[in-house]
Order: sequence, then structure tokens, then C-alpha cells
Amino acid sequence: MRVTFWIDPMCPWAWITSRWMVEVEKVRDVTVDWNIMSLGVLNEHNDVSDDYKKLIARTWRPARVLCRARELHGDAVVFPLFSALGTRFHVGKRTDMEAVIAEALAEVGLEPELAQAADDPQYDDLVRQTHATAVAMSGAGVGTPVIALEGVDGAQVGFFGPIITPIPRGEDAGRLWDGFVLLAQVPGLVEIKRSRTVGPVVD
Amino acid sequence: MSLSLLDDGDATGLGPVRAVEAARAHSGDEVARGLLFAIGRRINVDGEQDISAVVADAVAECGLPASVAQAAQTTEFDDAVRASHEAALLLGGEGVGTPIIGIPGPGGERVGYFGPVVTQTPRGDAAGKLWDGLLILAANPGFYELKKERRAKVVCD
Repeated sequence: MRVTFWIDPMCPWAWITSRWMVEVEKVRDVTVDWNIMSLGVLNEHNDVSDDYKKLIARTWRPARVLCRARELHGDAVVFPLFSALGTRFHVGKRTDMEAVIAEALAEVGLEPELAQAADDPQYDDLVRQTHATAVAMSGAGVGTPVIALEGVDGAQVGFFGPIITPIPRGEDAGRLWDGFVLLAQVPGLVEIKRSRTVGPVVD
Repeated sequence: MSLSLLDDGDATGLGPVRAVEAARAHSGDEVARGLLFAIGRRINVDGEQDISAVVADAVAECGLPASVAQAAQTTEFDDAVRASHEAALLLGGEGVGTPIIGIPGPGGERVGYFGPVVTQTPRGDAAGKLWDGLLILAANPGFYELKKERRAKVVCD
């Protein structure tokens, strides 16, 4: 099955779900097309706390770099660059944004000048366009990640989530995927949720 | 559980759940479930809006005494209403909605989820897939959320 997976590289929950998806690719016949969405666009008109606003403002920077890198080098750079960024943000708990972006670009073998896109609002349109493709699948008012997969009668269906912690591995990851595929085939399913009682465990 | 208690904690919408608790006290869980469904069908499928009449008719349909319907107007069963509501929140957590479903988790203990929210009633194969998928996801204690925007009109039949 072919699956599309949209992430914002700065969201720890999306990071966990992305690592689950990587596990799923090992144990199920699934191929993922990695795509980009944006916490910045998601929260643009939301009434959020000042602290969260500061965090959200920071998310534009790696999102612009990812979008610009894809524009220049194609879809294949999205996953390695996202993973190089996310490993540093989430597993490494890094907050030194300039260094994280520079190191991630170097790790993936991309030109260091791409880092300049981080502070260049001319790439905001690219961020908005790719974000809109995620929202087209999940609808508005949700979060990151968004996954689109084959649903009822072969039509694509998109969901925010699954939000989960810690990262399911191996056959546990496969089984969660099997359950998700079943749920995607239920016409009209829009939500399953419980209050989060623990924070994200990212590794 | 009670939408009124979820939304603002006020008592204006408590009539139907008070009657259900009165039915439970009078005749037990099975009869209370029958009344819950009889009230729900009138409000959600038939679109009836006179809640006092809905409760009275449903109580009669279930063969319960008029005192059960009258309990909707009193605070006699409010403690039971709140206890039942709190039991739901204990499973599904605060800040969610109704329904809350308690299902077997990884160690056999019950875990609660708000939902599954569906815009139409899954029947037959779809009902089975929803149940099987829900059990599989609930087997992961750290599964918290799966969601999309509600675009479709809710169909109650």
C-alpha cells in the first residue's frame, strides 16, 4: 500500500508517529511518500499562549528549509532531511536552530546555502501550499502528522494521528498499522481520543 | 454520562439522565439501557424537541412507572448522575466528549476513549472493522488520538 505522511519536523508527537511509520515499512507491504506540513500555518489564527506563539514562530524556519530543499532537489530529500532535523530536535533535545539546520543539511549532503531559506519569507508560499495538501486530506482544525491511506472503496482518506507514545517497534508497529487500516475503512469515522496522561517519549 | 455536566456543569439538561438513573434504581441496568435508547431514539432519530414529553413517552414505552419520569424534574438522582459521569471521565480523561467507551486494554484492564465518533452508524462489516481496529489501537496504552475534521452531516437512523 502507498501512504502519504505529512510532518512538521518540530512536533515531537509527529516525530514519534513518523518513527512508527518507519517501523511499519519494515514489517508490512507499505511504502511512504513523505510530505511537509506546518505547525506555523496550523496555528496562524489560533488563540494560543505567548510561549506557544514563540515556539510556533520558530517552526517556520526548518519548514522553509525543507520546502526549499524539495523545490531544488525533489521529493526524495524530504525524508532524510526531516529525519536529520528531527533527530537533533527531539532525540538530541537541541534548541540551537542555526547549528541544527546546518548540521542536518551537511548530513544529507545538501548545499549549506539552503540554510538561508530559514529566514526568507519568500518561501512561506511553498510552506502554505504543501500544508494545504495535508489539510485537504484531514480537514481543518487538527494537527500534525497527517496520514493519507486507502480507505473505503479505494478512495484516499486522511487522518491526524495516530498520536501514540512510546514508538511501537517491530510486530507491535505492524499490528497498530493493521488496526489503523481497519479504521480507515469505516465510513464516517472522525475521532477516537483520550486525554494525554504522559508526554511524548521520542526514542 | 451527561453533556450538560461536560459543557458547563449546569443542571438544565439533566432531565433525561436523571430519569435513566431513576430507572436503574427502580429496575436495574438492563431496563435503564432500554430507557436510554428509547429517549435517544426520540431525540436523535425522530427529532423530537419537547424533552419532558420525550422522557414521559419513553418511560411509558419501557413499562416504567410515571415516578421515573417525574424524577427528571427533581434532584433526587443527581448524585447517581454525577457518579456515573465521573466514572466515564476517570476512564476517558477530562476535556473530551460523549460517548466514552471502556474497552479491554493491554493488561485486560479497561481503558477509556472518547468516541469512536462516526457521522453515520457503521453496520455489518464496517461495524466489525471499527470494533477490531479500536481493540488493536487500545492495546497500545500510549495511543491517544486519531482525528479528522467532521465534514459530513451527522446521520442518525
